[in-house]
Amino acid sequence: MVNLINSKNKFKKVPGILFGLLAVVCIFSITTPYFFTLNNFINILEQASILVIASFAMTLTILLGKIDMSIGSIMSLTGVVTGLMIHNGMPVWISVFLGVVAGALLGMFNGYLISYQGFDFWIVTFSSMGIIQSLALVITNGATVPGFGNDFRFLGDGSLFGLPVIVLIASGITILLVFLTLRTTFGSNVYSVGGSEQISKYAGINTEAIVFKTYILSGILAGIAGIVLASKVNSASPIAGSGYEFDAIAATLIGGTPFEGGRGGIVGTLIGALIIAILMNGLNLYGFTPPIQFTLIGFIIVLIIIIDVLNEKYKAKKWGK
Amino acid sequence: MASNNIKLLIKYARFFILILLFSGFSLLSPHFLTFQNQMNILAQAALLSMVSYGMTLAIVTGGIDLSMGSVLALSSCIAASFLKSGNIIGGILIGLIIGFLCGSINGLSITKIGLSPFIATYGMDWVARGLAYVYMGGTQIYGFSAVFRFLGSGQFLGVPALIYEMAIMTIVLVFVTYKTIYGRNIYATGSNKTATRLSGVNTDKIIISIYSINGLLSAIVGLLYISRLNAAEAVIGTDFTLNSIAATLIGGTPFSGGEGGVAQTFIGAVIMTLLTNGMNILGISSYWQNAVVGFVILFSLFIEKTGKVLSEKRFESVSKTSINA
Repeated sequence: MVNLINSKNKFKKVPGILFGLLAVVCIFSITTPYFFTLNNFINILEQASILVIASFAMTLTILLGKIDMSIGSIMSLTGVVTGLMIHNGMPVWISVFLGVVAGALLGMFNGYLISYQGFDFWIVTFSSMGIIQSLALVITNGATVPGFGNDFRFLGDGSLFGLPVIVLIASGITILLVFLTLRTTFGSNVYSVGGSEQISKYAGINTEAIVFKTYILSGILAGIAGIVLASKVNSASPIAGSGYEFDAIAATLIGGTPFEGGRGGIVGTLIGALIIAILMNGLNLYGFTPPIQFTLIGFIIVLIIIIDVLNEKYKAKKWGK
Repeated sequence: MASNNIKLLIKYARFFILILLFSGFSLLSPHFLTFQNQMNILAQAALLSMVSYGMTLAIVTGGIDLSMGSVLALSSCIAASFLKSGNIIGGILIGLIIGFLCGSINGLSITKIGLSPFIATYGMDWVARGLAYVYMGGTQIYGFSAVFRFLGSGQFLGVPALIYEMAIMTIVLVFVTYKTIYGRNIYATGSNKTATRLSGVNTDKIIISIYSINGLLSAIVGLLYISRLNAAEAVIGTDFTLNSIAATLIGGTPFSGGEGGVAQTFIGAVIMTLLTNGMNILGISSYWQNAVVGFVILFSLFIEKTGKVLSEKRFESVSKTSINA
C-alpha cells in the first residue's frame, strides 16, 4: 500500500470539492438576498481565516496519518497567555511571539510523547486537550481576559491595502505551507510517513523526527490561530478555542485529506474551511439561533465525514477489482 | 512466569496507589476520613464506575466511546421532562431507549460505515450535546418526585442506594464478561478482530452490541445523576468522558484492546474519585481537575509501556537461556 507521491495524486480530489463550494455558494445566493454581496464575502473570508489556520494545523497531522485533538485547547491557552502578557505591560510583539512559542512547546509535548515514546496519538492528544484546557482555566481563574489596545487589535481587526489583516495572515500562511508541503524534502517526507511509516523508515527517513517536527508546526499554527482569534474578538476566553478541533477535522476531510494520511493537502483544506465558513454564514443569515446552528453544522459535518469514508471504501473496492 | 510476575506487580501497584492516596488525604484533611465523606466518595464512584464500565467494554474491543457524557445529558434531559410530568416509568423508559439508540448508531457507523470509533463517537458527542441544548433551550428542569429521587439519593440501611446499584451492575458485568461466551467474544474481538471473524464470530454484532450497551449505561447513569442532583440541564456529564477513560486506563485496561476488564476499572474509578474528592476537600480549584486527569492518563500509559518493556526483556532472557541449555 505505498502511495506514490506525485502532484497529480495530491490534487486529485480538489475539483470535486470546488464543485461543492460552488454549490453551497449558489444555494445561499438564491435563497438569501444578503449572501451574494462583496461585504458579505469579505466577512466570510474574515470568519474563515481563523478556521483556515487551525485546519492547516490539523491537516499536517492528518497527512501523517495521525491527528491532533488538542488544537482547540492550544488556541485557548495561547490566546489567554498572550492576552495576560499584554495586560501585564509586555510589548505587544513580544507577547505575540511568546504566545507562538507557547504553542510550539505544547506541540512539542504532544510530538515527543507520540514519536519518541510511541504512545497512541489519539489518547495523547485527547489527554493533552484536557490538560491544556485546564491550564487555560487555571491561569485565568476561569475569567475572560478583557479588551486590548489598538496595536494588538490590528492583527485580527485591522485592515491593510483595503483587505483585513487577518485575511492577509491566512493567505501568507497558506502560501508558506503550500511551498513547505509540496516543494521541500520535509514536505514530501510528511507525505511518505503518512503513506507508510514502516516503509518510510526502511527508506532511511527519520520518521520520529518528522512526526516530532510536524506536531511542533501544528502547535505553532494553532498558537497563531489562538492569538489572532483573541485579537479579533477583542478578548481571550479560556474556552475560546474549544470546538475548533472538530471543525478543523471536518475542513481537512472535506478538503480531501483522508484519515489514512499520505494524500490530500493544504489547498484542499483551504477550500474545506471556506465551505464550513460559508455554511456557518448562511445558516446565520437564515436566522437560526446558535444552538440550532451548532447542531446543524455538527450534523452536516458528520454527514460529510460519513460520505468521505464511504467514498474511500468504494474507491478501495474499485481498485481491488 | 516472569511476565506474569510483572503483571501481578503492576496490578498491585494500583492498590498501592489507592492506599497511598487514601492515607495521604486522611493525613492532610480531618474532613476526609468521616463516614459521611466515605459514603459520598463511594456514591460518586458509583456513577463514574458505571460510565467507566461502558468505556472499558469499548476499549476492550479496541475502540473508544467519546459520546458517553453527551448521550448521558441528552437521554436524561428528555427523560426529565417526562419525569416532571409525573410519568416515572415512561420517563425512565424513554431515557433508556434514547441512550440505546445513540449507542446503536455509534455501533452501526463504526461497523457498517467504517468510521474510526474516535470519529464516530466524537461526532455523536457533538450531535447529542447539540440536541440536548436545542431541547432544553437554556432552561433547567428540577424538582422530581420522591420515588424517582430515591434511586439516586435515597438510603437503605444507612448506605446510599447508588452503592447497591453499583454493586449489582458490577456483578452482572463481571459475570457477563468473564463467564459467558459473549464475554469471551468481546475479548477475542479486541485482541484480533480478523482472526475472531474468521473463526466464525460475528464481530460486527459484538461491536454494535457493545456500543448499544454503552448508550444504555450512559442513560442509566444519566437518570441516576439527575435523580441525585434533583435537576437536569444540557451541560451535565461533560467530565464523565475524560474521567472514565482515565479510570479505565489507570485500572489497567490497555488501550490496545483485548485485555483488562470491568473489575480492574472499578479500582480505577475509585482512584479517580478519591483524587477529585481529595482535591475538593483540600480546596484545589476544580479547574485543575482535567489537568490531573490528563496526567493520570499519560502516567498510566508510561506504566503500561514500562510493564511491556520489562516483560519483553524477561521473556527474551528466558528464551535465550533455554536455547543455550
